[in-house]
Amino acid sequence: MNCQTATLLVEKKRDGKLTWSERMGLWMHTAYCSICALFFKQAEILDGSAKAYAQKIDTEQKSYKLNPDSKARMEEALGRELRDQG
Amino acid sequence: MNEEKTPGLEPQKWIERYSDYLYSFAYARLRKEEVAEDLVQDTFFSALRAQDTFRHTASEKTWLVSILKRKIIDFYRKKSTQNELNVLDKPVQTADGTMDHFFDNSEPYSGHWTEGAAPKPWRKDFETSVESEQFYDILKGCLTKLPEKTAAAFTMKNMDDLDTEEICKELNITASNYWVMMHRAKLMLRECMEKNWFAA
Repeated sequence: MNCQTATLLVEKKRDGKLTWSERMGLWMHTAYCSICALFFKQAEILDGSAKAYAQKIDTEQKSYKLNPDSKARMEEALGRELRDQG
Repeated sequence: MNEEKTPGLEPQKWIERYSDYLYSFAYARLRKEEVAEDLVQDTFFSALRAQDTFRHTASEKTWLVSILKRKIIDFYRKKSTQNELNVLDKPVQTADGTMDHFFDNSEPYSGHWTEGAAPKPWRKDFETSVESEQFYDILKGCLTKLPEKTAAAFTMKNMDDLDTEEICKELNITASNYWVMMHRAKLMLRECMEKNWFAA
């Protein structure tokens, strides 16, 4: 198994869909390929950081503000719609 | 005749209460200001028309977010998959532009990492570095560089924790397509983040 295949299979592994021989091949490859082993660790950190990003947004630790002009326009448009609804 | 407002919903307060939060939610996932703005506005309008579908089991905020989530997915679906899939349809072993950069398929290397693209050990404080404010700006920047559907798949999995099956259904791709997309996403994202943040 080469590195290109190993790094692809780790995505399939995440969904629990590896065949037995793929699983063995990946395990063996990781045992002797320190570069791929490093890649797997780093890829995991990136997955985790995307999740943390979502959590920071959710808890408002991190936020992006609407452009004030856009917000004003939105206020106006929504206000009109509300009045029309009566 | 004045319709009674659905109890529990206060549309006149929505923008004040939720517009920045909804915008953050959308922008973090789409990384495009105008699109995020449009989807937030669409969400408020759709919500206005759908007030009678509001069930009090959810909060006003959760309900609005669920409407926005649907619109975000609809936006992802609109993106053309064709270019990205053309590449995906090639067997893994056949080198194409992106894979050539990462893996050398010529003899005797046969799919081993290229020297330029091989992962390197990161800076010593890599674990704590992800807690800084700037880290997320860099992450956002690197995500912006991914092809659209690839970025969508990565975001749906890692930010919204969707099942692979669901992602495939929404994006109209096979599981194989999905794994190849995620493979590419990881390769490109990792490299970008190493160059711009994690390098020792």
